[in-house]
Amino acid sequence: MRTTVYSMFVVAGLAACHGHDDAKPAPKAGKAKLEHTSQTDLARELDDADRRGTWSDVRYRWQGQDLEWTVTRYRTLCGSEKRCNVAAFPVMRPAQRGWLPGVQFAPGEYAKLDAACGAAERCEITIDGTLSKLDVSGEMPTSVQLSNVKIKSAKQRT
Amino acid sequence: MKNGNTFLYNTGPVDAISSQYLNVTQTYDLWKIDEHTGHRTRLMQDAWVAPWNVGKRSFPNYESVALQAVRSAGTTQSFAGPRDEPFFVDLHVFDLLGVGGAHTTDGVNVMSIVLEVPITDIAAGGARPSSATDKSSVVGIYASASRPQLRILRKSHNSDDYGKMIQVSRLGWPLVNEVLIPLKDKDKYNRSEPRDDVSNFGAYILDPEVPKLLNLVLNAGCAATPAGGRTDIVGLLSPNGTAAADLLRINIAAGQTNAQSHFPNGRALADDVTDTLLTVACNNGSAIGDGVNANDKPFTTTFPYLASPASGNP
Repeated sequence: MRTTVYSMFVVAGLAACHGHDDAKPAPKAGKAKLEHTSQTDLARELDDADRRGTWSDVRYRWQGQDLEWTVTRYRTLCGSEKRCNVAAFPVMRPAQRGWLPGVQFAPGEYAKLDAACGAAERCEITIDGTLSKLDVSGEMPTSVQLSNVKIKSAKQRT
Repeated sequence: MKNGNTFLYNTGPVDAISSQYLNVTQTYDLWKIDEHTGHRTRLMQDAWVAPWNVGKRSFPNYESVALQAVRSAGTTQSFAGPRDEPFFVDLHVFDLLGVGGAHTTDGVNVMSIVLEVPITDIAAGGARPSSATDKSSVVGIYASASRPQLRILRKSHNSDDYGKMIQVSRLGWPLVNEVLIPLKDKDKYNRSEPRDDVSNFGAYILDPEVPKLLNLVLNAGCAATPAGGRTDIVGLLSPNGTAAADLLRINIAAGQTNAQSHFPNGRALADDVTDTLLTVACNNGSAIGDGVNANDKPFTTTFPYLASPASGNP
């Protein structure tokens, strides 16, 4: 009896997964480069995925993309090479989404950031890097990780 | 349950937690788990949970019975059971911020778990740091609740629980979960861990909804969120350069006193955390509050410190 119950749950679980999150098979060729890769584009797709349940599709298409984003570096949230999150959006009063991308710098780039931003608590920086990890689902919080990040420009803000 | 042939919670006057007349009893085990090593130590087994304060006929002296649920294991003390709700707040804040001094938690009981452990048990390396500015002098605490992954309701016999325990709620700072995290992310917040708070929810802390609502609904004159965001709140959540997270922080360096240990450095039971948080959120240089400034019952000076729960038949 217990086996039957388990089996029913497995089937129901598979059906639910298929219905809500249409996982795509691995591509035969390389992944297509997205035309629009701003943080606003990503946010729009994530909002859409929340409505349609297409999280794995968004994850599949965005993970591995090379990006150039202008973001805000706060010293309190990005005070070391090992612990760095940046704000992808300006202050909106209030925030529309909670995630702050985590940043892994290419060698030497954090030092470049630190030198350019000096002691400023807030610094507007343009970076390029790879969206190496996008955790997105209906169950767990959205989390964005950028890797091999290089500093293109940095402007101190007061 | 000692006697299932009656509807009575107690079958006679109860004068001890081991009384034969205490018909329904609960027990718990207390485990200490080292998150780094995974080492588990059972500190208590089958410890009594204090009974519900049904009324004066069942409990001529309720508190003397309830306090028998205080247990010790070495230098750790533990209590589980009903207590007077220690959080004093005007909950009308959730009705379009309708705060006005309503004592909405007076007379309310809550099932409580109270632990008292030596400071050295939670200090890095087992000793209180000598410097109060050192990162290791700050500890972060949160509580979470978990439930079995799967419950099968059965028609013919009792329900079965299966699977690993799944976290369904957590709290660190008061009101972060309640008013900083928007509804769409609340379940996700409850499932996640504090160490990921900045990555997952940092923008809500930098750019909170509360001051805007206070102005919109109450014309409270709160400062607009600065273009640079609320780094002051981030700072409060990351004392001494610790990683920002929704953790209740307290500085445990040698020489720190009770007088220094008030919210947001710790949270003494009598601290008016709602006023502190509203003032921080509003950020206009003036103190604001909900008009409820103290608990309805005094806290006690001895463990478990929380006041006796209200009686069902006083």
